[in-house]
Amino acid sequence: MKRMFLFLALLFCSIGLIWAGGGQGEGPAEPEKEGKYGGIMTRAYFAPGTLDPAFASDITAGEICGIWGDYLAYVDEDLSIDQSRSLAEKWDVSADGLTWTFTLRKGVKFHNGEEMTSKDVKFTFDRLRDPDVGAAPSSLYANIADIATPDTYTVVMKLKQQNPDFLFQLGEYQSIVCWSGIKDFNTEHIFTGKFMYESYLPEDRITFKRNPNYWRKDAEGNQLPYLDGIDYLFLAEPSAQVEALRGGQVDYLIYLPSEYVKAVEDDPNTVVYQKPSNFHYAIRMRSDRKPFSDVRVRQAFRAAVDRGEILEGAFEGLGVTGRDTPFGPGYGDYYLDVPEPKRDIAKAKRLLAEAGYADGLTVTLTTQQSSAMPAMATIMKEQMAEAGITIDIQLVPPDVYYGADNLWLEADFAMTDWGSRATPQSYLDLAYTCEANWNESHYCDPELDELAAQAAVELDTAKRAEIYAEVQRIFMDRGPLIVAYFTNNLFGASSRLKGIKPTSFFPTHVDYGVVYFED
Amino acid sequence: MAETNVKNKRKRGRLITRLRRLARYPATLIGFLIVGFFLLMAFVGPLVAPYGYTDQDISERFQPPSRQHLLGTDRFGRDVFSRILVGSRDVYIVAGSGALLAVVFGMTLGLIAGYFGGIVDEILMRLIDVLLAIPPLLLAMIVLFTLSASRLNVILVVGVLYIPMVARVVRSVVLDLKTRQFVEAAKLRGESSLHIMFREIFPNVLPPLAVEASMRFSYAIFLVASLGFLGLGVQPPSPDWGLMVGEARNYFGQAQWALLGPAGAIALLVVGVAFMSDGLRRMLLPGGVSE
Repeated sequence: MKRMFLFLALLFCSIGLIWAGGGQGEGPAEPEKEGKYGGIMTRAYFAPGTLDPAFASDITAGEICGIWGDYLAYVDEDLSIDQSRSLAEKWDVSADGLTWTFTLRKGVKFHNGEEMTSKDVKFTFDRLRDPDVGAAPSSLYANIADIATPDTYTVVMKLKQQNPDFLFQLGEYQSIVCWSGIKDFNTEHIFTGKFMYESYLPEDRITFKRNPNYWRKDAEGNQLPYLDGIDYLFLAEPSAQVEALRGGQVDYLIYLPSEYVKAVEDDPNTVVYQKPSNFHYAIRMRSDRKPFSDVRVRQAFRAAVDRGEILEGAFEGLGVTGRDTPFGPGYGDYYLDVPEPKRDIAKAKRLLAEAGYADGLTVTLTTQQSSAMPAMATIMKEQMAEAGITIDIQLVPPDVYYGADNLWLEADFAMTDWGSRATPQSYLDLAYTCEANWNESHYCDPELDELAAQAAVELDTAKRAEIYAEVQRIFMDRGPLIVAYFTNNLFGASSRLKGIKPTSFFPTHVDYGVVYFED
Repeated sequence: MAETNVKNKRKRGRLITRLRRLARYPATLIGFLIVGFFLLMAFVGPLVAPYGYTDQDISERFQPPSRQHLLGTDRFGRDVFSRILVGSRDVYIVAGSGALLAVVFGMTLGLIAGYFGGIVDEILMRLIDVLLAIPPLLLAMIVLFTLSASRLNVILVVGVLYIPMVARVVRSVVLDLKTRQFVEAAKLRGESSLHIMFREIFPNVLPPLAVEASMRFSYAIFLVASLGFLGLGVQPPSPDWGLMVGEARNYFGQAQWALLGPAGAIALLVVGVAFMSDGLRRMLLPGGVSE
């Protein structure tokens, strides 16, 4: 009898403990609302590599820059420069294109109350271009010869060479304007942005609170931002992120995997936003050695692939097919609009035979175990098999692909994800000229180099479009790439969250200043 | 000599009684049928499957089960049922080889440790304890991440992971057998340790070993499936059941059968082997295993 009683007592105690201690939290506390104001938005993504903007290279670090900082020149959702959201009120460029004069906005306050002046802008860009500091965009800003501050609100930048994309370069996500008094960028986060640093738990989350002195106002003259703050959880697994979104623990997701779009759309509590972007997977063939050093092999591969089927099967059709160049339709006049090449297995076989592979060819495709890449590899393998090409798929985790051995730069045949850049010149400079740092395809074509160098300094957009058209023709004919498609930027959000303007730029670049909750 | 002859005659008689006993347990029969079916598929799967395991048709993807596709199609329009059938071969090869490796080496270690005892036994058992203390899946992941994740490495890892359990079972049987009369008799005759271990003791270790081996096989199937689920040791488009489950997880809402099919196959085979193992135990060890 006593044992029975003891057992029952223990049972009830444990049930009580579990019931009290367990159970889900109730979600964010109901915010105090006045019109659009109030509420804390919860985000979720990978933990950032660093909080120092100069070294921000991963997605989360880049997004954080945009949360607590502002840019001299703001790149908007359609890849234009928006002066109303830039820290520079206006700018002028000299006739020779070498001297840029920026007039700064007056009365912009840093998070510590100090006013932003030309001294802070010079401090920011001097640090970013200093080769000793080695910041991520330093090679980009090597073109800046000198930065002068003739008065409190004027900054003059002298370039070594004229650069039609200079304003876009100033909008690189690392280039938020910092307070010139910062000594340690890892602990002092003093910028001009809509939200201020609140707290940071490295394995858990970073939180931001509203900047009460933010300089931007909405159309009715109300001060932005509307949100009280942002809670940024570190959650790496995409399926977990989606579950959190649908469960209400997270309000907004970027890089929503395409296979979840339908589920998030069908759920009444969540919404999907899309916008075409220039994000693409570069299926690159290493052109400095066999088998791809023979241009006929590269052409055969391009002829054997069905881009539309890959887009449909691997990304649910949420994008547009590519033309085997890094130029997407989002670049407007710079995009050479030609019809998609028709799949031609006979041509592929003929080219392979001419190159000495009449009996077929076996090659290893190296790519990452992430997003659409495994599915793309599987579909492409079947397509290529029809032309006598055998593909052995080698999937590796992303940190191995980009790891110490730099697999992505060495492999013969690989698939690399390339984020959406503001201008196509970036791709040429980063990956397709002979000396480019990230030339993973080891493609060296003097004619392409010459055209890229011309386009880099051509200020006339019509002439520049012609040069780019020629560049694209080279890619389509003898280049090292298969580009099956450009993705749409996919965002998932709670239905209560309004004011989201999807962007064609980096998905992290959505303007949180105008976002608000509505019940 | 005389003792061995009598033993043989008794063995045959016992075998028949054992088989009769087996028929009374339907679970065992089911187990043998399941294992037999997938074993058959391991040999003839690609020949009898209605579709090739890589036959893609993007326009036919996410189709629910129908007469044309018994278990529907996956995100590439591939027939799930065919892929399961063809995948049986991989299951038997990888999990089977791994279990076999564990049995061969575990048995040897157990024989040595049990027979010699003393310091040899102590050292071997402590090493085994260390291995047992680490969660198998975790150890497998660590090893496969550091070395390359090839199919051979998966077999090796699975094998090594299950050596301790086999060794322990064998050792305890040996400890018991060591004291029996026929061992004493062999020692008196002057037989070498090697002879005693493998000619006298080993045949009597076989029954409990067979039962343990089949249990190891059951666990190995699940471990290999878990590794495939994580994408270790297999590359697409392999019809590895674990990989199929992992791939289907992302679009579960659109095609539940693409996940439930291979998951069901894993569960079915694991349970089937376990039933079979139970039956083996009834057949071979009617008196119970002395552990």
